[in-house]
Amino acid sequence: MSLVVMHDATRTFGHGRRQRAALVACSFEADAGEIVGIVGPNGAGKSTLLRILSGTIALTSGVALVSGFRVGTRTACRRVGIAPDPPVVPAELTGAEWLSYLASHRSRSVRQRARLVGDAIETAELADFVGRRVGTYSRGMLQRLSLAAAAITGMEVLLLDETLSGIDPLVHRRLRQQVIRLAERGRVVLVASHDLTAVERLATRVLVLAGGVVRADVATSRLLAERVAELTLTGAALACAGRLLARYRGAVRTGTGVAVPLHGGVTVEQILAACREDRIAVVASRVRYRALEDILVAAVGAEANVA
Amino acid sequence: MSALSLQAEVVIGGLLVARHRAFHFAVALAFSLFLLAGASGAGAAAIHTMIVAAGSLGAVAGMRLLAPGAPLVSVRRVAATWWVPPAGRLAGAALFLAPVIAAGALGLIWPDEGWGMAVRAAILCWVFAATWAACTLALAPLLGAGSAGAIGLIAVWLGGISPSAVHQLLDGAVYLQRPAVLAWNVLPLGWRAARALSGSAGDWVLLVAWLAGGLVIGAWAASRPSDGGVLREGAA
Repeated sequence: MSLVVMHDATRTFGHGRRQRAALVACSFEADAGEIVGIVGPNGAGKSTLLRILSGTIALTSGVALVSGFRVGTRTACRRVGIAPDPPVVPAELTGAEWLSYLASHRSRSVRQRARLVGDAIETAELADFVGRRVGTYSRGMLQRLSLAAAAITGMEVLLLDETLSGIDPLVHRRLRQQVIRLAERGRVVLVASHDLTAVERLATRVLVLAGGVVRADVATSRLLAERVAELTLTGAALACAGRLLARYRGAVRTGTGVAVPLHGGVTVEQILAACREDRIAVVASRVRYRALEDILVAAVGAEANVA
Repeated sequence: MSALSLQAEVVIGGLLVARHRAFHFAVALAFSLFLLAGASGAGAAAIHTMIVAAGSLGAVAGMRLLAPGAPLVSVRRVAATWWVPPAGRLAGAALFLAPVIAAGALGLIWPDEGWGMAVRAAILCWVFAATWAACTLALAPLLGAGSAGAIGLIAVWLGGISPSAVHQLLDGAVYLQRPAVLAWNVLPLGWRAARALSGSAGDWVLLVAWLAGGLVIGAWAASRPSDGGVLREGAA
């Protein structure tokens, strides 16, 4: 059974002419052990999706289940841990007091509580500052405390909203390993982030959201199996990039030229020959793995075309 | 519900109140009132001073317990049995109200009225403070902590006026007079607390009923989603 199920989940805000859809007919399932990345531009619906699963806001229509229970019910809430963006922790408490408070609600004995708090401190590497008041924490420290808190409350589903941003690269690397370990212990982890490289490294699967709609649901292993030809163009050739975009399905503009997916038998040689034919001067070309950014740019481009 | 959950709520209730600036100001205000009343030989007005100080402390403490932000979000996050967070937190806050109220009773009531009256006054003021803490606790998730605290403070400070005085005050405004007098009779105001000291059981019942009502409304307000949607329990 999937731990997380969303079927035609829609959430709108406001009424009448001011009504705005934050999430539209979102459907997906996630099993234990999966790490699902959620990427998309600002306002795509990433945080809304996580807040619905955590029970913070209700659905307008559709179904969302956690371990078979409707989201927002007490039974479902007790299985979900969320690290929201920005982190929400009382500034008056110390990190240890906050974790101990949360652990008390998930423990049957003092010993179990101490173990939960100890594990959480170790997971998020909080030992150096956990005794200090939260009001004195830096952004990175708060993010780590938020991750530890989510690990305590989310025994089955972990929702991380930009939790790994603002953390130094070395700690970031170790925290990624910890998140993978949490997933290996049977949790579903949903990670919403703008840091595409981090999502590529962490997630087993990625949902691309744009305008509240799921535009793509891609396994990260598939990204490695696909190749992209990246052409660097300058001057007048850049103005002709539109012809390449029209000719090759899935081609997108990059900062310096065009990226063309190599699928359906298309080769770099064919593309370069076509450029010569159309008198498009190519300054440089290279072949790389398909990046999450390509999928995101294509999805947002599709949204712009629909609009 | 485990004993650890309740204990955790009592502890966090105490910490949220005891470490917040607003409560520190309220304690300073209460001691200033006690000093002022003691220095000016308050006599019969001593109990009214005690009631106003205790109510103010309660209103300020209560507004923190389910304040929008981390205190409120934490209730949803731990998903405890519905009555545990508000009741536990109120109990934690009440522990910090007790010594201030006891000090007031010791300084203002005991010298003139003796031990018996001082203890009764302290218990009454503690219940009155807890009642207003429960009321502002219930209002905070709906109106915000600042508004809830302000409403509580205004009610506590104006509540010493008796209903007959309100009736006289609004003699010219018939449409306002009736609802105002009705409200003055129904709300847990200071004049009623002062009367409760003379032994009327009905006044005690009303104060405790408001305390219980505040906790129930607070629990409801804290457990609903932030946009007010309705959630149903059970497997789908």
